[in-house]
Amino acid sequence: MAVLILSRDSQQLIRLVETLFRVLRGRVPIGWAVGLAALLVAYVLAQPYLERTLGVSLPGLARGGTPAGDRAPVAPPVESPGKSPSPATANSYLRDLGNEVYETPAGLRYKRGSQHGHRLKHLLAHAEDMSDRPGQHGVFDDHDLGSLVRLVDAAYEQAERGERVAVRREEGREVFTIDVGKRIGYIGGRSGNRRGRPAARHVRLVLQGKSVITAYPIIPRR
Amino acid sequence: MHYAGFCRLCETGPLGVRKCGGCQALLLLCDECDAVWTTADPTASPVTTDDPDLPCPHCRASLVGDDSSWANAAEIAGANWLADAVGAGTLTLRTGKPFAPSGPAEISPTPTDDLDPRDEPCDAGG
Repeated sequence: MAVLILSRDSQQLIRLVETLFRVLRGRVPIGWAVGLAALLVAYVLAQPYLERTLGVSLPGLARGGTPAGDRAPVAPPVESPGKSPSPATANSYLRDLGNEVYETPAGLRYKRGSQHGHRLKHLLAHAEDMSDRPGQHGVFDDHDLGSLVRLVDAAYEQAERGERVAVRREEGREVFTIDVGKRIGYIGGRSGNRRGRPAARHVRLVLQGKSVITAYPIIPRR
Repeated sequence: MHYAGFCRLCETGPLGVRKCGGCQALLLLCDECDAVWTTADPTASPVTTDDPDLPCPHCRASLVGDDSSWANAAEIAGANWLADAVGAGTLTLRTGKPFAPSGPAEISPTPTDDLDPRDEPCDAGG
């Protein structure tokens, strides 16, 4: 899989450089063109590392990401439920295990499933309010899939350390309620909207083994 | 979507009445965490899985496949165990929009979940 991606990225990189030379031919000295091409290649190669390190989403010049590394670039099957999420940061964060299974550095796995088709889509659907959903609907403030996956990872690692967490184990599932210590979203849905969308700083995380079933902001019951 | 209260496992998802596309059986399916109940007692232990196809506990057909759907009123009336529970008052059905955008919505003109106890201020979101 990694070899396949590397090969595809290499071809895209070559095409980019060819395009650059075509555009610059006759307009700038050849030395400048070579220098610009070198900068282009350096940027494309460094982009995934910079995104991972700085936690930002940088503009992409080619599809794909890290050409060689322990975190191969993946394309999670994500479509926006409304707004435009930027899955680029998730691409460099998740590891493609094949068969549409993506693993995070914390060891959580997002697989196909749910009526959204994939748990990543389900997670991203919690970045949008559904004001007509019955009851309450936890909504993340962040709309970036990469940021959401990182937030869930951080909450899970906090839970593993036993910090500000309540957990129930039942029917093969673990249901975590984790106090992140800062606002992460609000309560929407019919009920939340009636109450003025109260702020939430807890994550409800439901796992089956290491598989993420769902995660969303909540206000825990007293 | 007709739903019968909220999931006690994740404490947030509406329990939608789902019709299996394989055996046509009706079940209660949490619209948030996919826990499944085959009886009218949502306080009983649910069936859980991380199988992507969410197999029906009766026939193993996918409950999220194209052939499965949220049950309509006629289908609910035809399911004895569900109709009996509703008739006996042990289960109350309401209607509301399902979470998944592709899910068929069956919305009553007037929302009927306004009096749901889960709407109290201290509950979790989902």
